[in-house]
Amino acid sequence: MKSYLKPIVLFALIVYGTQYILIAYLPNLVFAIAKYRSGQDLNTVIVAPKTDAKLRRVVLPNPDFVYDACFYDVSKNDLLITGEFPDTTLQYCSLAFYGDNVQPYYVMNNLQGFKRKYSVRLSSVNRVNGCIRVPSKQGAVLMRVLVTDSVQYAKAKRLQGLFKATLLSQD
Amino acid sequence: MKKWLFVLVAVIVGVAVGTYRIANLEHNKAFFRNGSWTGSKALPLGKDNLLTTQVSLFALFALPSEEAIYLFAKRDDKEALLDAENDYSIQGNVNEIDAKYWSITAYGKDLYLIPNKKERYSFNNTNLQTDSAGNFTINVSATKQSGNWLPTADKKRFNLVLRIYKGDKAFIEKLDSISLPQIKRLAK
Repeated sequence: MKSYLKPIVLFALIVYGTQYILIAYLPNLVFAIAKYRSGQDLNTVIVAPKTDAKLRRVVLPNPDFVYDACFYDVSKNDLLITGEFPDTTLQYCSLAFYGDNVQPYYVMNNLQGFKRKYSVRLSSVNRVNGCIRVPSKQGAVLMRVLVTDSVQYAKAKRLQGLFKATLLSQD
Repeated sequence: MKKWLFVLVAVIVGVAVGTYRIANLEHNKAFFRNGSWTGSKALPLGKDNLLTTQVSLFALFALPSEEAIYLFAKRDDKEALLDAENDYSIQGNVNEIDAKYWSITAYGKDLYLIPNKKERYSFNNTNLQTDSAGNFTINVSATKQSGNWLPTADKKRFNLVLRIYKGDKAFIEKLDSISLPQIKRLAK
């Protein structure tokens, strides 16, 4: 290679590599920041107040929803997520599970015929069945409940209180 | 040039290129444009690194497309950026959106809800005032309006998000071509 080409190629490679790393790993950084900004320990439930302009931890909050969240770490224990869906399909409710790149890997909602009481076990180790094998040891679970009037809000508050995260042994 | 300076400059250029690509959300080929609205019928999250990063930054903890579709608008029907110095009307028909739940929400440039005394941040398919045929108009303005008033902050850029939850499959399929609510700037 001609001597003047070498630094140009090297420069282009560093530029390409830097922007590739930035784009590939920024979601993990976003997750780490969101986890830090939650101000809660891992594996504990965060019951968010009614969504309004004061909620500034996550961009684009939906004011028609109330949220429960749990940032988890299942490297040493399994985690059991339990709670209830609304007693009507008129009030949309979902549980969404995200990996440490903030991408959803599993979603369940009350329109899909799931039982009203849900119980989901997250694990980082292989099992035959009965639990979800997480794509990364850390992640987040988000419960969304639609609230369009005061009756739905009262129901949503109750469901927020029923959302639990319990650590279990991996044995 | 010293080696470390050479590497530093290359890294800075790399960060600038990456940041530009991430910020250039409107021109990602995964998105369609329909009027003022930009969105995707099926986000290839996890498969497309750039798109995954863009969604992580601009719609953190978004739901997958099977669950919800998010359409963004930062421009009116004349392609001008939405600016709260102006008033806008969003006109549509509730029967044109076939979904379990849908809403139109206003966000500031920072992507957070816009503080306002009325604590009104959005309208959805259950609380919009419509005529007997289902037609609606949302008045987007920093000053108090009658009817469906969606407040904005004075003299600041803002964005609108149209969320469609559990949309009918045939409806979602046509999302890039059907009539969606139109965002029109009103004459002063």
